[in-house]
Amino acid sequence: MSGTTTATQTATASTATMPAKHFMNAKYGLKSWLLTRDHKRIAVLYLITVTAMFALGGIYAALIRLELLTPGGDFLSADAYNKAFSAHGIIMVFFFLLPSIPAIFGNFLIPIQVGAKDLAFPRINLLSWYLYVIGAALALIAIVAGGVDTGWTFYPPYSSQYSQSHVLLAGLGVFIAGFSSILTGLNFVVTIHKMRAPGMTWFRLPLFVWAHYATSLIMLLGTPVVAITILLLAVERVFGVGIFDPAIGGDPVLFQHLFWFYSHPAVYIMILPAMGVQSELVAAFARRRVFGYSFVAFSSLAIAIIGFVVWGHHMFVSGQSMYAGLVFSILTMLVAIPSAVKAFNWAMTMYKGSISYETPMLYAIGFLGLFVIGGLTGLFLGAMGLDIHLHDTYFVVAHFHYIMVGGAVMGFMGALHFYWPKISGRMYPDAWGRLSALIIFIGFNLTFFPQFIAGYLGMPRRYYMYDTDFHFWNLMSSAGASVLAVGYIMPLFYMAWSWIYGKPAGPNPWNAKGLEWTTQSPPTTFNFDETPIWNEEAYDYDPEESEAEYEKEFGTIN
Amino acid sequence: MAEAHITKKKYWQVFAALMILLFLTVFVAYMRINPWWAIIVAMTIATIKALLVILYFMHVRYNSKLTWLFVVSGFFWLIIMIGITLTDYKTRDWEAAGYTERPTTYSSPSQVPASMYPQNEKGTAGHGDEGD
Repeated sequence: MSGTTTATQTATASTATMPAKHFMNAKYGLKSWLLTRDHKRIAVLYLITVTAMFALGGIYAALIRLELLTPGGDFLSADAYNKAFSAHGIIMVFFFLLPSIPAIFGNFLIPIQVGAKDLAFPRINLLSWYLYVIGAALALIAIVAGGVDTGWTFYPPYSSQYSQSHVLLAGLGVFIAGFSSILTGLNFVVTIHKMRAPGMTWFRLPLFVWAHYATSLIMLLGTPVVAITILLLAVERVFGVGIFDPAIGGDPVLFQHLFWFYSHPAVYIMILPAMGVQSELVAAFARRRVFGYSFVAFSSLAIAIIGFVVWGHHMFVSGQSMYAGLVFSILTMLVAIPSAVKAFNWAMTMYKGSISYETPMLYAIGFLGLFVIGGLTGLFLGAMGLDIHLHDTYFVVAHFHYIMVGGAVMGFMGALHFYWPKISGRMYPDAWGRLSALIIFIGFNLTFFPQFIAGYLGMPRRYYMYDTDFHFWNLMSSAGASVLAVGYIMPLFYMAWSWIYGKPAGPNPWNAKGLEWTTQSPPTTFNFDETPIWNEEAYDYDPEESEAEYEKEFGTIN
Repeated sequence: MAEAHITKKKYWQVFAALMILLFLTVFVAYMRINPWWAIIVAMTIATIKALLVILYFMHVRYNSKLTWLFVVSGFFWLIIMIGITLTDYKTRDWEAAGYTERPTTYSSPSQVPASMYPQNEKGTAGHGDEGD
């Protein structure tokens, strides 16, 4: 069971040539990029800026792991350590994870997948990139000017009354970047509702589009709340109005309610698009229609809705009432159901499929395992009694990195490797891709699995020194981080190489189904020469036919 | 398009209505009425103002069912946010959370003591006007 797509891929790749005219050579010059309204060019702009922020956030992660290599505070001072983990969190959450898949791959693919020329509001799309850049710049200024030491959660009264660091500036950056997110969500919702090509009915849409629709709803309904919350924080910090500080009539737990009302659903803004990618990858490389298509589609919406009623599980030990904790604990268990529907359906899609192991599929398989570990440990933390023990330990850190890195970043890397031929028009060396995927998988587990154990044993998060009992686990984790870094740096080189020297990919290098694979790679500025008419069901693959083709080419396997 | 339904005159009428309601809000704020009722009156006026803006200035009144669905879901989410947050505030053990006294709540207008009423300059010592 292997190699069907490899066979077709080499066949098409060797004969394919680069198209004469495409979106990247349609116009030249800096102005043609900075004032572009083409969703694909904006996606490329996002790709560059978001990757830069990922690298920066990664450097802060390296500083954290370097400090935790030894139990003593040998490398960073307590203050510098606080600023390092705050910078890591703020950059990775607000400037990498939230925009990563939606703003890059969603932007690039959704109009093509629904058969439209562009997103509904091209100018608003460009505006969203500028807002992102302004927000990121403000956060960077805050970091360069001396940093923020509140953690990415900005909890008052520390952030509103006591912190001497640049809370306002970083908060303003997050506030502005939030509007970028809202505009992207708005664009996606309107495009998916209004701009589908003839024949592209709701239940023929790729699940990538469904996942982004659900993501957009969260962006629209949730992001304004965090924006207002940060604004209220600024009002208290600047004017001393009592909103969150109990000394002047406020309630610090109110901040946590408002903050997590957005920031818990924000976790689903990060993971839902990765789930959408996962559906595309599993179907394409198992050559089967996604098992239970409509269940996977509706589970995205269910996650978006239930995700909004579970926020209090971040606050079990915050002073929130016992009764509210109980309600949130029960609701938290509910959100596991649609996630499990997805995980089982991906596994069922692979069952009796004609599986091949190209780079994107390795990421997809990695995602499945890591997401399940991350999700199940989330249930540990959602159980109120156990959370009293595990709260604010490294168990929590390990849990959310399994979701964010093991899930969202794996999905990001999978999408990057799957759609790179569509974006650049060229193939990257698959052997290097597989090697980096393997290194990332090993490095990731080596980094974060020991943190589960250290956390369970009682190591608190956000401390720069720790008891020598935890040394072994931290040593493993720091060693793993260096392996992980190698895995992330490798694609930078072979992707850059392939941009110039890679073999032309042709329209459909993976022999995949979907509108995006019917147009040339890279596509022209308006994606299609004429409005496409779509008559196929989604994921119209045939695994038996794929196996037969493979046997014809390479002989029987067994 | 939907915009054709709203004339310039209508915009000015809505604007006038909003201004009248604004003055009404300020007026009620200076009246010495029971705070229990004051909040109800203020919130009612605010709701009417919001509805006017949404229906006319944002053109929702003449828009499709889909637009209505999105508007209603926005408010539904607001109810979720406030409602579930209240499960905490209504059931919290304030003493255990470090507060020296439980915040007082009033379930009917007659329970509100006179000292909680807004005071004018000639009034007896009251709360809330130290900053004026």
